[in-house]
Amino acid sequence: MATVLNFELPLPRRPGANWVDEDANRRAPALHGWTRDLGAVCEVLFATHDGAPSADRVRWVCAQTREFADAAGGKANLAFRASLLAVTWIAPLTIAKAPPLRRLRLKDRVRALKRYERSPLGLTVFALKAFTTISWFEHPESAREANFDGQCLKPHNAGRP
Amino acid sequence: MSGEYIEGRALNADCTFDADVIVVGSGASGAVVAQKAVAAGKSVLVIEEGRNVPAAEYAKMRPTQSLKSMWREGGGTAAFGVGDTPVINVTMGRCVGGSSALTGGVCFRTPEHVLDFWAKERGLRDFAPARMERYFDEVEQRVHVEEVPRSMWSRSTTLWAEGAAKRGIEVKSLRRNTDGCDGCGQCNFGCPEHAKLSVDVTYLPDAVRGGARVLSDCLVDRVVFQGGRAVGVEGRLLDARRRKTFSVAATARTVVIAAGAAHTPLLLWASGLRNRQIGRNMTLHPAFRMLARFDEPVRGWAGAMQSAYSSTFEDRGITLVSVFVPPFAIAAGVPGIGPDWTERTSRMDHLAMFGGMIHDEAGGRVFRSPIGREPILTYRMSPVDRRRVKDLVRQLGEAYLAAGARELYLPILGHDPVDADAFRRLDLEAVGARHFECTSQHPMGTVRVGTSKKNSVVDTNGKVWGTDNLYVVDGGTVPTSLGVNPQLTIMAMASRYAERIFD
Repeated sequence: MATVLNFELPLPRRPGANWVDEDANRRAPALHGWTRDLGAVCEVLFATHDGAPSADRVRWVCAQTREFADAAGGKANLAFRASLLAVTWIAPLTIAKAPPLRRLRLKDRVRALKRYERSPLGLTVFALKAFTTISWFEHPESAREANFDGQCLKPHNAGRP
Repeated sequence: MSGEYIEGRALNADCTFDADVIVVGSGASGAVVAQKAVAAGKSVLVIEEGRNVPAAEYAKMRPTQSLKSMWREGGGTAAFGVGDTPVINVTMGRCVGGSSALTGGVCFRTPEHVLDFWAKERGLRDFAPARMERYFDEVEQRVHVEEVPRSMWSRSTTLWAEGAAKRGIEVKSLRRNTDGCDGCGQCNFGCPEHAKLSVDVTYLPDAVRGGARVLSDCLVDRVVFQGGRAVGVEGRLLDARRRKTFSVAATARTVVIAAGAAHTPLLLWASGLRNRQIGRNMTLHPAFRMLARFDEPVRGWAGAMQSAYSSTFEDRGITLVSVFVPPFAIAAGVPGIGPDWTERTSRMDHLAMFGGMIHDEAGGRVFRSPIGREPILTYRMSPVDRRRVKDLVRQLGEAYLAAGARELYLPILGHDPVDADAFRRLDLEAVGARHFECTSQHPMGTVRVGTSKKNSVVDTNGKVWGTDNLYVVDGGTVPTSLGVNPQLTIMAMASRYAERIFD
């Protein structure tokens, strides 16, 4: 029988929490198939006044999101894929543009998603935001842009023997 | 005699086991029962569907890694809203230690008025406050329940408390099962500092030291009966991608199910049990959060993730509880798309958050799904609870405004931020409950305890009606919602059930 020793006492103390992916700048796979549609949505969700995020970061977040959705499996993955399908093919119609979403300019995609978010199908936008932001803020640059430093309240091992 | 942890994914043959007691599920209740069984001199096999992620491993994980490894469906399980009811994200653990490894560690004793109600209105006199006290004492001692000192309150919590004080709302420190917390705020993904004393680092190791075996990556398909007597379980091992591999057959003299409120009904149905109450009466403590933006830096993640609460509105069915979840969990609820959203989330360090839950009426049900292994959950919110939602949101927002918040991000899907004037003008009563963003961490009640098989699934000893030696001990047996976090209630009830089972 395989046996795993779960722990040794006393448990080792670690300095603080782990929030970001230190390997985030490795090259992520190119987008194809449905991940192109996901990339188009991510360019909108995470756009700033200067435009879409870098192609590298979009590829990274799409790869992470895909991996996350696959691992979640079951109905969660189905809900995610269905939400992406709905946003891709219905959101453009809210601004009288032909789908799919990825064919629209960034400015139109932002308009479409904003309009669509207020529709009865708006929950699908929330679902996509939830799935993608899970990974987005694990990118060290995203964490920095959000002014999130993840530091604990107390120094490591404060007050402990 | 020491037991062992056995990783099912590493096994490559059909397996058989035998033990005095099989416990299905290694979460808060299963771990307590396993330890009690070992203490009573029984040989014990604990079977857990999820992975074994040792504390030393989850301490190094990022949130996404934890979500993938330790949470059911990556945290994406949802209860479908029926009628004017939100879709509710119901989060559950799936790992050795269960949800207890992933909670904020909050420990409330069952409110006395709830236990009184059980005793007087449901005939559950064995659960009267005086009779439950020693079980609470025992569990609190083992998992080191302590009050969160004010020095550990995050600025996010302190701001809400300051605003609440101006409105005459009392805020008190929570109690948690912690020892040496440094306020890293990562409780929901496994404590990185081993300061949260969940059952995977307390009761389960106690049981293993006493000889229990813990088999992970094993999905129990059914309880096997001979006549009315449970004689064991059958199931399948799961590989790293959770695909079924080899068969497992385990025999026992006593079978205890602790698979959780959402999954115990599935196992009972698959085992041929047909009580009409199975899967009904689910309560969820629907929970809502308020985000508030301040001019001052808040850095809400620096502090105990949950540290304070207010029971001021308890008689209105509302408990307000501090919480500050990581940026990715907050960000989805920040309003806006594109530049609006990124501008708001660029000020994550200026956002504060507080939450609350409804002491709900039992509007939920569990169903078997025609596809896949997960259940279908539905929930119909009662008119009383819908009014409570609006009341809760109003209280959360007004306290932050009293503390000086510039604007609020409401838990209403797609709603623009509001300043004080806009919030006070907003007719929350006119907003359908289905438009609210809602979560739950406390599914209960689906196999509730009672005094008759007509209105319950298990008797006061946890024994499933109509069987000789099959028991259920998890949160599904809790007969009503509590209005407070249920971890301590579930563990104390399990401790009591165990005493009855093994005496």
